[in-house]
Amino acid sequence: MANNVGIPAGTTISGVELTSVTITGKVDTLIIDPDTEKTMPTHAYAYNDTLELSFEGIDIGFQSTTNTAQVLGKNFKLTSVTLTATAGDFKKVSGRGVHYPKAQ
Amino acid sequence: MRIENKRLAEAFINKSYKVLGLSLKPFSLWHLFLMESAGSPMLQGGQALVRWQDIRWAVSISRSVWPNINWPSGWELAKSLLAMPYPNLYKELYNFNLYLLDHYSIPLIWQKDGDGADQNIDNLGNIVTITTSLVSAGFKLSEVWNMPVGMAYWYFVNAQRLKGAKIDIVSPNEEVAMEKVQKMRQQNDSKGLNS
Repeated sequence: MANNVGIPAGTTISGVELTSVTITGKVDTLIIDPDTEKTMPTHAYAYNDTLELSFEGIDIGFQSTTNTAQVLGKNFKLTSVTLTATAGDFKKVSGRGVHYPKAQ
Repeated sequence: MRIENKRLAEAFINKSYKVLGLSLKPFSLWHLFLMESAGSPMLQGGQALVRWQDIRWAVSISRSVWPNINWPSGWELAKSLLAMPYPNLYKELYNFNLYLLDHYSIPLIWQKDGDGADQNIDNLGNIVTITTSLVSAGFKLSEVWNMPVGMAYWYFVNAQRLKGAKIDIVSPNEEVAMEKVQKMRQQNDSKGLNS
């Protein structure tokens, strides 16, 4: 499930003027085989809920020590931020982050 | 459908201009080629001293149609000076710069380090490369040389993309962000924070 949310209010990454933000949600599932032929499983488990963030923006002094992003009121741990291109004296950065809802 | 990219719209929609009382043709690849060949100070964005005759020559060039060059004779230069007893050089220069800016709305391109040399608009091609590319794309040579500069660059960049070149044009929302960042920088400069 991917949801391009634009730039929702309250979305901030220190040192980056954001131009796009995308959040993708995923869960892992576990289905228990009932061991009986032609019978639906009775137990299915969803676990490891994860929200993955990817973003792009213009660098306005991003510091490598910045390790969190606030998106939709949730705290994402930044996993990577890279300089991807330049246009004049503007630098384009893109990055990724991750949020585990059940960890909070 | 609304065209979001202001640079693209500006490249294709231009006003009419008069400088020194003379109507100018849309500023074309031919005009750019002639002015670059002559080393015109009019293209140096206020970094060079501009004299009255530089403006007059630039106006003459900007009235040329490929393959002709509309050089003014000494008599024509003198006549047009006599016709304007008190030429306001600042105003004429300002109008000529507006004319250049209006026709020079080329795409802004993100340049990548290392293997992204082909993304640099300056490396993408000189005027003759652009001309050759557009002719091979089906335009007539006269159409290309007389095409406004901005329009020619947009056609050229898209022709390169259709051939498979990876060219990352700055998107409209990125341009909005750039304007915002530029304002922030100017505010910081005025507060002395960037010094």
